[in-house]
Amino acid sequence: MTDWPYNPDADPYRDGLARGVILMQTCGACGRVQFPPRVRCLRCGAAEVEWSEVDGAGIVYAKTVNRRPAEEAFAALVPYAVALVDLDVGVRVMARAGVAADQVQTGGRVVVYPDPEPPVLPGLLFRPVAG
Amino acid sequence: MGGSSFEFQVASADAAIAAGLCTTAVITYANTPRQDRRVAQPPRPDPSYIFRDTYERPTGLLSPDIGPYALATDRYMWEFGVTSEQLAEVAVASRHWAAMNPKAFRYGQPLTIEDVLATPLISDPLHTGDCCLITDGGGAVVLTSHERARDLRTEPVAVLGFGTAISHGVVLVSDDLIRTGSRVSGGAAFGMAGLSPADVDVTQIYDSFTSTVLLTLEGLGFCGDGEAGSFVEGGRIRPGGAFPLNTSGGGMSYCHPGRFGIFLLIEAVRQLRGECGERQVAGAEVALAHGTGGNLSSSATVIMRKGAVDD
Repeated sequence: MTDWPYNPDADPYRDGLARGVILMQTCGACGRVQFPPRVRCLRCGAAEVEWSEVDGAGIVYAKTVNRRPAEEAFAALVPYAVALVDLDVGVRVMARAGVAADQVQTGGRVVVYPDPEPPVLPGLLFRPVAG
Repeated sequence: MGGSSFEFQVASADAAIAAGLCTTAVITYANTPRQDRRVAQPPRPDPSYIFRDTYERPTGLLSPDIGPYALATDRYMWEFGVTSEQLAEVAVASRHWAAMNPKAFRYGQPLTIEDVLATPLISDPLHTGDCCLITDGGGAVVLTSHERARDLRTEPVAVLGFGTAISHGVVLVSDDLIRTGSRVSGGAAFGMAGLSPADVDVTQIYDSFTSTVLLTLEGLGFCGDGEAGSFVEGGRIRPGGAFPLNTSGGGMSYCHPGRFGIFLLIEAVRQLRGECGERQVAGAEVALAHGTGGNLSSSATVIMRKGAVDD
């Protein structure tokens, strides 16, 4: 696997993915969940941000289907869908579909989960769910 | 700022000249990606692109190229019911204009909506026919003081207003992918110029992808939210239509050597000087050039008028 980008703010997130959980920051002052991780709360500026596991349920904000691989490690997956997913906890993530691209609907309910076999770097997958 | 760098540079140059920091500024660009047959390389870890590398690259999104624009286009079509045919009209209209520009890369190559829709999808919903060209090319723009311009041999074109905006780094952190920074940059430019969209005679909008044009038409206020798909129909943006757009043939049919923004300015000036031959827009007095760059993330608008102005 490729080296993790130099992004110490995201180390707990990366370590969580390796353990199969999605860890995100919650502001200790205003209670807002934020992603990507930052050194402070982007809304209120508080320095007290705490890491905890979040639920991966959400809605597809936008999707695309890659007909070409972004890099060689994705070649066997083509065509694959990538989406921006708005999680119910109030943050947006980018994830690749763990199902066939034609099963992905914009506006559809999905659940996001750590990719157990990431092609290049630790990341997120999603799959449609009922409702 | 990518392809919109040149519109940002007009803003910087205009301010520098107004402040007396310089009298004349030259904005240039040249690139040969076609001759070089340059192929996109996998992203290398780079602290400058930390969010892209950390949160986008693991998904396999085609970024920073088509992927972010494809996501915005999908959302746009879903939210407003805009169709692939309406997107394709942007490419087809540009080809009609290119038919009157002998320098255009696609000169003498007619194109129909059906042709565009028959091209392969790359990153749904965008086909290859929704994408700009890869060509060689270059250009330059000279800006100088109003006082100096009055003494020159060529007819001057005055910068009446400009505006710039950076809306996000990567699409992940954009709150709203389809209401772009053109709302901010366009509002500032029109405000500085004391004009409204109805005052513009000829318009040049960066056409990196067909959808970029539709989103920008809405952002600049030429039509309402979700209306650009129907706005471009019926020949309105083709030669002879009520809204002459991308009269050089644009990045889709004229040229696109990596960054097209310089050519938006050049075509605007040529139209205002009446130098465009067969594709000349009759009576063009006010022109707008709008660049979009990065991940649909940088926007810059320049409004120009024919002739010298008093300081």
